[in-house]
Amino acid sequence: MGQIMTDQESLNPYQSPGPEDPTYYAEDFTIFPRATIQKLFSPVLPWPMDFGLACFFRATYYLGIKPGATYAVGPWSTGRVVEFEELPSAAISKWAPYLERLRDLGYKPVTFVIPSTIGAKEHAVVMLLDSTGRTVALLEWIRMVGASGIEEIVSLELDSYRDPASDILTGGVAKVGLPLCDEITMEGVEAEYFAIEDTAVEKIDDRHQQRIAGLDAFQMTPEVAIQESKVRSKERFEAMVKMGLLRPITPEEVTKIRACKLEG
Amino acid sequence: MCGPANLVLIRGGHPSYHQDTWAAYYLYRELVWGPDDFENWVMQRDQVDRWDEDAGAAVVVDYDQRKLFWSAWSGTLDDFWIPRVAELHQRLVKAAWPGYDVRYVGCREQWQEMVELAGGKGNGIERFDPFAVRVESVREAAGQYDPDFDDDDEDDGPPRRLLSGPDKALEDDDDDDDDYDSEDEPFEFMPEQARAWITLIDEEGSVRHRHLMQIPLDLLHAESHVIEHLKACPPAEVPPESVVKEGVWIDVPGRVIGLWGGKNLKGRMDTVREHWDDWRIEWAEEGYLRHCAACDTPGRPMAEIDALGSLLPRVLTIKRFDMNELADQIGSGVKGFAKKATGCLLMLICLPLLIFGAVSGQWMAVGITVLITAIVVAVIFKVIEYRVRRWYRESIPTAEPEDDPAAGPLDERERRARLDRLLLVAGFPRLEEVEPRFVADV
Repeated sequence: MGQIMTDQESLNPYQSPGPEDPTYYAEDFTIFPRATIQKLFSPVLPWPMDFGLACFFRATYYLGIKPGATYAVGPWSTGRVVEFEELPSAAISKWAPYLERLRDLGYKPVTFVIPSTIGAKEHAVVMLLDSTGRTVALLEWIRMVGASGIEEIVSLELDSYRDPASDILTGGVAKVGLPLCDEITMEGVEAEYFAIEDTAVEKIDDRHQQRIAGLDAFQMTPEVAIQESKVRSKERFEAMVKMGLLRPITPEEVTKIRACKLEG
Repeated sequence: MCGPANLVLIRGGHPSYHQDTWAAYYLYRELVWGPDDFENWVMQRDQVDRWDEDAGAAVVVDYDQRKLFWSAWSGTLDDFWIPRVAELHQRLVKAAWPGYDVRYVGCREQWQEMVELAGGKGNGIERFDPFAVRVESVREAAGQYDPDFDDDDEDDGPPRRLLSGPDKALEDDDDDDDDYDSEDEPFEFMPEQARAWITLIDEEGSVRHRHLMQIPLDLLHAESHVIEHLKACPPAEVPPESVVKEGVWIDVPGRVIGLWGGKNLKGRMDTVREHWDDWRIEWAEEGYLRHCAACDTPGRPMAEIDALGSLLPRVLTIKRFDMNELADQIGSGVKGFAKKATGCLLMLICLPLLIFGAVSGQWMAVGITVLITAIVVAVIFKVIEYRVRRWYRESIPTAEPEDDPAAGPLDERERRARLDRLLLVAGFPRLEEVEPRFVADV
């Protein structure tokens, strides 16, 4: 389970030494109110089926039953820094329109990361920095089982950091995940989300620049941006663990989840 | 929306003309079973005295000279003409017609040869060019067709050359176009929909991918607005090979244009060279892979086994495309909707019972009631389904045609065994290896 680190990775500030055998975490959306869970199902299930299913999942929360997981994630810091060529070809293909627009807006890639995941999920991230050094863009690609079989999801997060921690986050996420994102509130993060299917990258960036106008957001070099992003991501990860959205899984669960694969 | 095909068989120097109202959709399938089965199938079609000008496909088989020329230009076959799939189909047909000169006709010159072979019998069929039809402009191919824009263009005189520098008229045009764009809904391809993949490497070296319905004529003719109009199209991902029917990359700094795709596009290479006169023009035999290499992306190439998985189910099926088939498809759609509606109704009826169970704790009674309710609803659903089917059968006569629906063996086991042998001869993996990769919807 330990991550293999190359010399290049060990020099990269993004890569923490990390534990040899990291604890993995499964997502638990049953912590959300019934109405939020129902919104997750409503695009694929007609009423009242979505209502019934949401009630069922909410009941499992009250009864202390943890839903089974088919994938789990390691702490953010255990992600593997890779070269562009090592990224999954599907991620590179899916990112093409977003990278084109981000480059037109003056963003430049600074690092590529394969986050630590086990089970039926693939994940890749490219981090970009804008020409002023004030905004970090995290473009993510996830391949996992969704409502209609295996789905590939792209999301975009624009971050500007301030001291003491009060980040400005403007995100573009899949429409289906929007209710969850709106529900998650983290201390020190002022977040605003758009549906990425309906909102152009230019519009998300424009909104982000409006939000940080006049604020003393950090002006960062690529190295500092990588370091800051790592610190903030760790804080957000810990906040999600604290609120119960991510729960540590047992070694038995790890064994079970490792056996889950994405077919097709 | 029928798809007739012209079928010409020549024996002893005499052509006999046949026609099938729907065969354009399945002609590729009928050819895979070899000369004897194909002839047997054609002889069951209507004999006519000349070609049908509205056909979407044609085949000429000269049994004396051992020649098979065929062509299909119906737009509904777009997803079949993914170059990788079409190439495998051609190999399969060649293996099934040993000793024959097998040619897929995809351009004007070969069309003439095919018409001459068939005796050119028809009303101006020799002048008919099924391959002339191509989308006019980048905008039209991107689903942004604006007739006013094209009319204005025509008024401006002959098309301007690419990169000939800005002029006032073009700038005025662009102003109008911006207004148009802002009101226009972007066209979106369905995930499995076949498309043309266009890559523009612009002056700054930025790589821009675009998806169009087809490579348009203004691009092939290097008209002045092409680069700007391509830039204005919505950015797109690198498409998987399984959905690309043709591709072009335009490397502005290197002054290189590369094309790949079907014979129709290849047949236009001279025109492309003529219009892009000071550019290096490349026809990419490696197709998708060369395109990926040219724009430095790994892409998602299609493995041979996946291409076969797309082709073989279409060859194995003996489905006949006609009005009955169409009605069946509509019927199954309606049935699917009715099932969902019934499920919702059942849930609505059972929800109060479940709440009663939760409050009273009498789960046994609730369980039995829910079960009985589910059975009653299922029985009512089946009764209604039976009545609707009976009404359909009585009101719409569905006489079974007497001719064979497809060439080759009609028995499923025999058909599979024949195809398996053919795969072996053609040097492909066996059917059982390909079967797990079969596309679900044929």
